[in-house]
Amino acid sequence: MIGGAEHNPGPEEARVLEKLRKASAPVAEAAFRERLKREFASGSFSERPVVVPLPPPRRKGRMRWITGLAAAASVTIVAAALNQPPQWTALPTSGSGTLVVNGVSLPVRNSAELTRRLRPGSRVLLQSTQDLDLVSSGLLAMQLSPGTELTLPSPPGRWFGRQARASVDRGLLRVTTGRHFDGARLAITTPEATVHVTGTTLAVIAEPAGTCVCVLEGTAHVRPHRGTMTRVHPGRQCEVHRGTADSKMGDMREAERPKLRDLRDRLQSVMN
Amino acid sequence: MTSHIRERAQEAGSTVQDLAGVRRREPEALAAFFEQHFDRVYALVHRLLGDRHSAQDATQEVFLKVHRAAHTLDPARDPEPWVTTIAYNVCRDFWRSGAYRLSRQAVSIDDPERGDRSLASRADDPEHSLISAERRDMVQKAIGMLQEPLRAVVVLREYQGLSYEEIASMTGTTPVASRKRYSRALAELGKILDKAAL
Repeated sequence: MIGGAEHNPGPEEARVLEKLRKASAPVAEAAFRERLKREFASGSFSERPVVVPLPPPRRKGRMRWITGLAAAASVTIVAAALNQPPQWTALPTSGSGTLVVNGVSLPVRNSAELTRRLRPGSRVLLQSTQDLDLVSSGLLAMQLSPGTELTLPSPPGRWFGRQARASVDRGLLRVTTGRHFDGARLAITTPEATVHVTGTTLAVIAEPAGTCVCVLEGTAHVRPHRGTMTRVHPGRQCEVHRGTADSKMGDMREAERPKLRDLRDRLQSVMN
Repeated sequence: MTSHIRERAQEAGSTVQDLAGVRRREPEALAAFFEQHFDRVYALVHRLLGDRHSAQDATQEVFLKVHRAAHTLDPARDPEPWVTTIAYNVCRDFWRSGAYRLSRQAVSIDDPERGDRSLASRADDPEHSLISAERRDMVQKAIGMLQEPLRAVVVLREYQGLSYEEIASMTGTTPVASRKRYSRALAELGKILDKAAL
């Protein structure tokens, strides 16, 4: 019935159809008809209005929305992809031993495998005879001393998501920031304090007695977990003893000065 | 219901020789072809577009397209569906044109169809002619108030005598959808005509 088959109209439909059929057909003006007939037979048509079809308005509106959303999604995806910072790269080391990454022991000399395994948020423990250098190109370089256990930070994004967080449970971590770190922030948490880094070269030492932060250049802010924030200037150090809320300022450890200089000079050239 | 329209068209159909002449664009064959199809084309586009000026423009466009494509005409087949499809496509282009949308919002003051009815009636029986013209205009106005897909299906079905399958293939829908549109169109037309007390 439905489809191509005929159907019997109901009374209402029949009433409408009757009215439609009673209406006479539109008739063209005789002059127009004659002119068009002449033109059609001869093939020489007079100037005529050009009909330029426009897309239907609803579809146009819908297409505009779809296009806009697609463009926004593309921009978001591209921006998110480009915002991704360079991941951690382990530099070759002459030491022997292992780096335990999320419970998996890896030889420190296999820097390619280390690089493949290292991810932001990875728990690492260095069991080696030498320091190990990790670099995120242009942003951040870190040096882990033997016995250091920490949680790797995610390097800050290029344009957004520029706050990174790491934690050092024990051992010694040296940090130097690269030229693309400008405007980013790194917070390093130890058992006693949080160190806020905005662009500097420093060492964070987590010892059984407490935390010591040595600043070679730039400025760092140290906040004991139960105390107030202290600014640490270049050449100075800040100690926070376990179980206290106080911080103690002093000249930085002499042993750290050449090591931090070496880190800065060596890794800045690698990083940038 | 609509078979009488078909039969009439087929009776007046072109011969194979006529259509072969149209293919070769012979003036006499073209003139005969024009005479055969003009009234139906004009009535179709007028009902679909709703006013005389648009109907004239569209009719001219239809015959221009027919002339250009005459060499593709198959003399063995009835050209009526071909011409109707061209006419419908031209109307669809008109519906999408900016000029048509503007014309829907404006009324031409020199259009006798919309102007003083007494000036337009010049037939022998002025009263009968006036009533007939008014009825035609009311129905045309009611058809013109339908959405274009509904208008198309009611005109193609009722005045061109097409089946639901033919309408579906012409308008890019399914026969079921055409059937439903036809019913909806009639229901809406009923309301509009009741309001106009026709």
